[in-house]
Amino acid sequence: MAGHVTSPRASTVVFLLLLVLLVVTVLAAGIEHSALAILVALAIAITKAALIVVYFMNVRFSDTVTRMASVAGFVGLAILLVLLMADYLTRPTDWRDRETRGTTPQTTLETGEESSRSAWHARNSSGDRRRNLVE
Amino acid sequence: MTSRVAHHFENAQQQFHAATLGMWAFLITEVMFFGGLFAGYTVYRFAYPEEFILASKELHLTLGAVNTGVLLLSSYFVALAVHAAYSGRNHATAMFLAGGIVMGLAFLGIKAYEYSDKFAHHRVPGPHFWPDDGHAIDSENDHVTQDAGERHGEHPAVSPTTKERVQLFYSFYFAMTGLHAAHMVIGVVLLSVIAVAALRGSFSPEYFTPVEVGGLYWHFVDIVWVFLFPLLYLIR
Repeated sequence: MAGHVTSPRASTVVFLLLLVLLVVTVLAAGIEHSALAILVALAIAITKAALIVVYFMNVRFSDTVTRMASVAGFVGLAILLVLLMADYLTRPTDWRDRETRGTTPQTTLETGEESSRSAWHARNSSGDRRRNLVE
Repeated sequence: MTSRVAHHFENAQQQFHAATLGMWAFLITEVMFFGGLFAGYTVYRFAYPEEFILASKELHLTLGAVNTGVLLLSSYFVALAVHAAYSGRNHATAMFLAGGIVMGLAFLGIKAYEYSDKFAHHRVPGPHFWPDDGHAIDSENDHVTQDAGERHGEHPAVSPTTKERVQLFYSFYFAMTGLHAAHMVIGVVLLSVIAVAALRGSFSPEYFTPVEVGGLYWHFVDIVWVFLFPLLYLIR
């Protein structure tokens, strides 16, 4: 006998749980509180993924090294997202307005002065960039 | 019948563990592959929340939810197929795999309908994205009128900046669901090959590794959609 797999009975219970979670996540999205809603949606998605990994993918019958491999990818992705957002969320916010066409340089909300980013934008506006290419 | 254990393995148990671990190693690279798109999505979701909400509301929530259920059902069939192979029931394995394949094709069919709808409404990123006489799509009301003039008064003009950010959302939408759909197509081919092998009586309690490994791939593709669905369709 090679390995061991989840029984049809357990698979059925897990499948029904997944359907319940699907209904819950759709209903929860109808409530208009965006900050909380995205946390609820992500918590439900992570729960569904965990059910699929542990039961459908038979990780509960796996040896230790396979269990470690099954979480390694998600841990790596979590590190990517946390460090990435730690960077972006602690920057001045005006990078968001930078790349849009046809807008004049933005001023920062805090000071009302033209920010260095906007100056960057002004320097690199299409006319200047074309001139740089010619030079 | 010759042994299914390759000569470099001690026994069937060791071979099975090596194969599943190898598949998980591949799936880690898949997590990173999709992870780049999820990371890019996260950055711009925080940067342009209003425009992402506006764009997300244009997606067809009912079809997205139905598709999630269809995919979960296909994963359930595949889990049953793995157990049938493990029990040495080759015919049942093939039938359950066929169920998973049919559900996978149903998913792709619904996705194709959604794509064609987005093409019809000029929501594909490119030079013809959201033309000047266009308006927001009302996804709750399936029959969006093509006559822009008729409803023009109800929809205030949308600024070019907003349109560009909505276009960014659709770029992520098509890249992420497109990559996922490509994985689905590969998965359908994979399951078909395994189902044919099952019909030939290839699997036994000692050797059902292809069914288990193919199942791992299919369930992983399911997990990707479990995250795509709330991120793309459920932003409100």
